[in-house]
Amino acid sequence: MKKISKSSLFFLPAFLWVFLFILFPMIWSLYISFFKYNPAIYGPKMTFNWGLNYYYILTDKRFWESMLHQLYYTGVGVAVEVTLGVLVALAIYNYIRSEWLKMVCLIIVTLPIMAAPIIVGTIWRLLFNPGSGVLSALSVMLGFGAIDWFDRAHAMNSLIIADIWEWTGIIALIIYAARIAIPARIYELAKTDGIPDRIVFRRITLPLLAEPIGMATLIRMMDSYKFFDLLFIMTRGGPGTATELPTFYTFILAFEQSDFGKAAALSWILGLIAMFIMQYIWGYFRKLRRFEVRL
Amino acid sequence: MSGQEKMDRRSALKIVGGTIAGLVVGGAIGYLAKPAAPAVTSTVTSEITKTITKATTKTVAKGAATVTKTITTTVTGTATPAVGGIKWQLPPGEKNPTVDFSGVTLKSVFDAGIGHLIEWFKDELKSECGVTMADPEYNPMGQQYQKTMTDLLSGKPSWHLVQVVAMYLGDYVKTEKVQALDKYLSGFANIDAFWADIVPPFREYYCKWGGKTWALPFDGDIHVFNYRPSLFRDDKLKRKFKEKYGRPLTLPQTWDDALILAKFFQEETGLYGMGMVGQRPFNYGWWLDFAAAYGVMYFDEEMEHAFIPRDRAIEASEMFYKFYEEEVVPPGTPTMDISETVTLWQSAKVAMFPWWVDLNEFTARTECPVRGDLGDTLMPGAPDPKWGTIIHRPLMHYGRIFIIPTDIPEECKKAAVYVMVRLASKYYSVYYVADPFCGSDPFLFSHYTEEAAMQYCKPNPYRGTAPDWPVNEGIFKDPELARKHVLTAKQNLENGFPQPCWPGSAKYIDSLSIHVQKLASGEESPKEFVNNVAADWESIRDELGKSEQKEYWKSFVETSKKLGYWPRA
Repeated sequence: MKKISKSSLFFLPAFLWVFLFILFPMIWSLYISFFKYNPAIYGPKMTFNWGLNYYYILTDKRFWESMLHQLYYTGVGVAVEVTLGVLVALAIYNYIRSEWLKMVCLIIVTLPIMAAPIIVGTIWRLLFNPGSGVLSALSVMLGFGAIDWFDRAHAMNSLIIADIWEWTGIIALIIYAARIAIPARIYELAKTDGIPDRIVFRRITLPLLAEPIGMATLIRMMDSYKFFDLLFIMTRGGPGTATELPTFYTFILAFEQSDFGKAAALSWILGLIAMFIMQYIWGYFRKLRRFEVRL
Repeated sequence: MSGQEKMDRRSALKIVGGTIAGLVVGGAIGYLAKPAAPAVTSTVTSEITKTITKATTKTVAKGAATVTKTITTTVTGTATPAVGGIKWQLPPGEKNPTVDFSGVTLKSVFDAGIGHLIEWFKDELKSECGVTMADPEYNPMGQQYQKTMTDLLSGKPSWHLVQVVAMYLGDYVKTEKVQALDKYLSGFANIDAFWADIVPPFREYYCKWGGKTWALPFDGDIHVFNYRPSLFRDDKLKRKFKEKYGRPLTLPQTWDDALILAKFFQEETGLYGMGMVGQRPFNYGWWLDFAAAYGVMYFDEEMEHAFIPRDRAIEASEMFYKFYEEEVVPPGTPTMDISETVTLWQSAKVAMFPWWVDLNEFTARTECPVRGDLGDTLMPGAPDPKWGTIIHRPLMHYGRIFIIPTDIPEECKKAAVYVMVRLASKYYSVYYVADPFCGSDPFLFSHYTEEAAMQYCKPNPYRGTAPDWPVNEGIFKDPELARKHVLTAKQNLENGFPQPCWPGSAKYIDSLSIHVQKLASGEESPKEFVNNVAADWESIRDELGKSEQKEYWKSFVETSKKLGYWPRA
């Protein structure tokens, strides 16, 4: 009989942890997603409903609206964050000579990450306040008139601005670390050969940073997919459903309507979509890495 | 893998399986473990008058000096002999010989808006029945439903006494995790007097469901119309208004009047004419202040069509939208939350503001520009198209009630019901309702008496001061203002309109609040709004089970008929 090393039993606590707190809740949520389970309406009894919860969610206009919002939020927000993060990191690396000053700059750009999202949300809600907020006053001063940052046209962008402010620093930090790791010798060779800076950037820096950029983008995309706190504080999904994202809709279904069956089905739909998207993006950035450094 | 000890897979699986089984068995034993048996109660008579002395400690200027003041108050209760039941008509703290809950500790949970009544009264409750009240837990106002609902559903509730919001009563009851109170209440002597003191809509809509009692009230939330009296006293404004409209500057009777006044004040003073709460989910209450006055009901009697009469619902929505269209509400109102509107009001930027009755109470305790310039009156209404009389229908919005979970020991249930009855009775509630650090509003007939009104001018004799309630003095210095405030609360309550509170209300309210935001932000026209929200409500009714929903609605209609809300005035 094949023997198992006793020392491998040390994995038991980890296994139990994963089973109790990750696998079991997942299996349970998958199970209840096939039941009509809303104790606030139908009492505690669960009734098997042959996947009707999935049908309900996939034919729900509010769900698809929230997915569109998610697409906009992630598309614009993450793209701006990554672009800004890369630029900031490279600017700090290339244009600041003093190591001490580099550190100070990095600390400054990463400070917002350290703030609790609830505080960030409250601060931005105050800044955007249409009556008394600094940004509203600024827009009047600059002659743009009073802007209602939380109306239908602006509310999502206000959330994105707050999110960019909070999370650009993490991209900058990752890219800065990756840039340090590129051997200086490559750049020296390029310089010796008289290759212009823009070619160096395109042919050396960018390909070598492709994977870290991909990783940073993935992290931010995953994070944006579960975006909740700023939204909860700043707009609560409004006005109407203009800033409602799928996670917030899940929250409403589960915790404001006690519709646990549908909320579980929605979570699984979101999980599967996320897995698919992440797989695709990861593959894309791995492809980018294949570009050789060509001088 | 030489040198390492080996075991076969079967042994490994035995260990893993054994560990999991151990956890399961251990959990089951823990789950089944029950607390000690209940204590026995007895019946004796008791004294009714009591003198309370509480030290009030006040720290002055950077902690340099501490002033200690003693408050002495004589409290008198009307004694009714206990006829073979638990006495509840006693002054706070009086030893109650009919109950003994020594050894029982009750945990409670509140939303943060209510204040600290458990902390204030725990000594009195202990001395009268021996119960120990643990320091309560507090949740943010908007999260009380989520936290208490999930806790109850767990089957292992964290609290014995749970404050919930009345609009979700039906939802809580359907979980079968809320204890019906009838059998416990029947053990109280002269309990009819207790029920008779509760204002009927709170008693019938917010405490009972399906012929049973599930909750007791301790907060009579109702919207009232708040205004700045100085604006209505200002001679210049009076003259200008008279010149412009050919009539005197008086408080608004209808929503049309309110709109005219809002525009006038905004033009003449630079203040925002009217404040409203726009953020989900509570914004629906402000629309209902309008709609109910226009005679709109949630459904017709058969629950076939929502928001009827539809034409009146559209009229009400047009009126509501005019406040946004004419920009007499502060910018950003459609997403403005409760605290932001309060800040605007307290910083004296708004002329008029429909809000809960306690706005002026806690504003009076705050050092803010509007302090001393606070008035409240009956909510504006709309003329009845048939009779021409003005119908006022302020919403009985939110409304805190106590429930107890089914899954707690019997002795805790008995103690919790006792505490609920005592706190809801006038013997305690007169004091916390009039306390500026408590968010509870009048809900008993006893709260509208001269004696209760005068309590608004006195300190709460049952508490001292602490960082969370740093002062203890009456809300009003002028007794006349106190009388007027209490009268306003009564007047509004007499016209109050119930919020949806049947099972499924959370879903209906979610839909209504989304559409109200769309109406306020101009995304939907009044007509679209009414048609869309009605269609939504009808599909929610079908989705939740039309026949069950009709049953629930029937019960709501029966109560409405009993209380004179149906047919509409």
